[in-house]
Amino acid sequence: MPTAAELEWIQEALARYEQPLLRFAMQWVGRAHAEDIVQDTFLALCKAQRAEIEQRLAPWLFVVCRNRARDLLREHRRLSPLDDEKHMTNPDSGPSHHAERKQSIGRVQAVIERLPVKQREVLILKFSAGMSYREIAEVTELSVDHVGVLLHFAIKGIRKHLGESAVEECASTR
Amino acid sequence: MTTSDEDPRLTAYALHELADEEQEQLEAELAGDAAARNELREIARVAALIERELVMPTELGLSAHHKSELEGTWRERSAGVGGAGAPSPASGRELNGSATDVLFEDFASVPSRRHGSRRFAKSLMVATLLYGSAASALVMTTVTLCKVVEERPTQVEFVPAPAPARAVAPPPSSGPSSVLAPGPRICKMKRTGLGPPHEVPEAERTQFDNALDDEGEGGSEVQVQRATSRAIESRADAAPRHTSTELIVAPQELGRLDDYRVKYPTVARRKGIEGKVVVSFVVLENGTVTDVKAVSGPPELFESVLRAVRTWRFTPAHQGGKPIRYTMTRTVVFRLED
Repeated sequence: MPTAAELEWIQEALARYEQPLLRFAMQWVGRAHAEDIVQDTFLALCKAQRAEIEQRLAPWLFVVCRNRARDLLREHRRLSPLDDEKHMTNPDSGPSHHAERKQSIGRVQAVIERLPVKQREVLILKFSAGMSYREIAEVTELSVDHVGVLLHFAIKGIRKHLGESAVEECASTR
Repeated sequence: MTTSDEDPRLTAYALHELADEEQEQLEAELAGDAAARNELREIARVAALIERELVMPTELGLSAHHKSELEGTWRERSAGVGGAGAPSPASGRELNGSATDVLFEDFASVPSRRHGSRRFAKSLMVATLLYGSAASALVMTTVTLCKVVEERPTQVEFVPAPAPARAVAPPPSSGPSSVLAPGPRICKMKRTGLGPPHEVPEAERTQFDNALDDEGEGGSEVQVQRATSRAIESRADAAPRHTSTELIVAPQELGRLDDYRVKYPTVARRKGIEGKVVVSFVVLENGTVTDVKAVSGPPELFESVLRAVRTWRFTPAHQGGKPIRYTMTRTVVFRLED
């Protein structure tokens, strides 16, 4: 049973990791399921012992989230990673502002979607969740070296798809 | 020695993941390998791009339904425990200049007091903004941050706003500005953390902290200072001064941490160029920045600052409830560490 201080801690964790976790879960399932999974993850956090996980909160959350996603997939026998939604392309954002930035964002995210599953997974953990190689290794059950290789090729792949000129353009519109 | 572009150490280096020895080794190899240096630069650039896209604010978030369910569950569970009640999640972003200082201090003390994890606090800062928490939005209005995106930066400093966000416009012939603001307080933080690192007692240091230290010692720092008084003084294109007895509300930073980063230019870093770049710019009525000029500082650092400042966004300055143009200056401090 959380105390008020714990509750505050949990809410901070929610604020910090809500979006990265959703992004992470949406690699495998649609938005609606992803929200369920992330909600479950935070309910699990609520029940967990703070002292035990506080030092490794991020990996803990993503491991729980990953396991829930896998359970769900197993349950629904949906093994294809991307299902009903074009989730990574940020469908909710309107065209009203930052049009040029959005354009480049669409392109980068489209490229990210095309990455192999494992590369995309580590990429999200690295950049969206801000985890270290070691933490990513813990979540993905890979070696730290393997994580490094996956990230290296993920970035290389993105660069190749974007092309040098596109990168330049994106950089200059920032 | 030739470093292959297939070498994942290049990416690890760009992402500050190499251990000290590995890094030294790689740097030695890079010194004689222009192709690999170029490769590294490309990796860093793409990484910065990806980082920006993946942490940009989106509407992505739990639905109101999911959130209210979560909160209901938490409240139930914490009922009768704390007494003081659960802090209710803030909704919407409200800007209220007067409360910023206090909130900032609260926030800055988060890592050492409660978590011992400065990285967490930084991340929290970004994400709570995305979440739309009023408290965090307030914090951001007081803070100018920049983040070095290349090489192996370790320290980021930020300078909170002078306490009052308001300043009285100088009367017509009062000479220099009569701004009420005190000098900026400076908080240092290590790379992605918050709060002065030296304030964290050794005993409170966590694995996170140690990991951070392992990852990124020996980098550089960039710091942005405000010069609000000069900004007021040099206010351009605003309503004529003789009519302006109304308060001018200065522009406030708008956005997330990463929106205010300044890159430490690789070449300058390698050459050991340090210094302060004073930059002046006009914040337009729509909050965008124009007319960016480097006023002083080492020329090698100008381009990086100008490029960064052009992307900054602010809440526009207001006078009498109307947005006005406003000239501001900032000082970006580039400092290398041994």
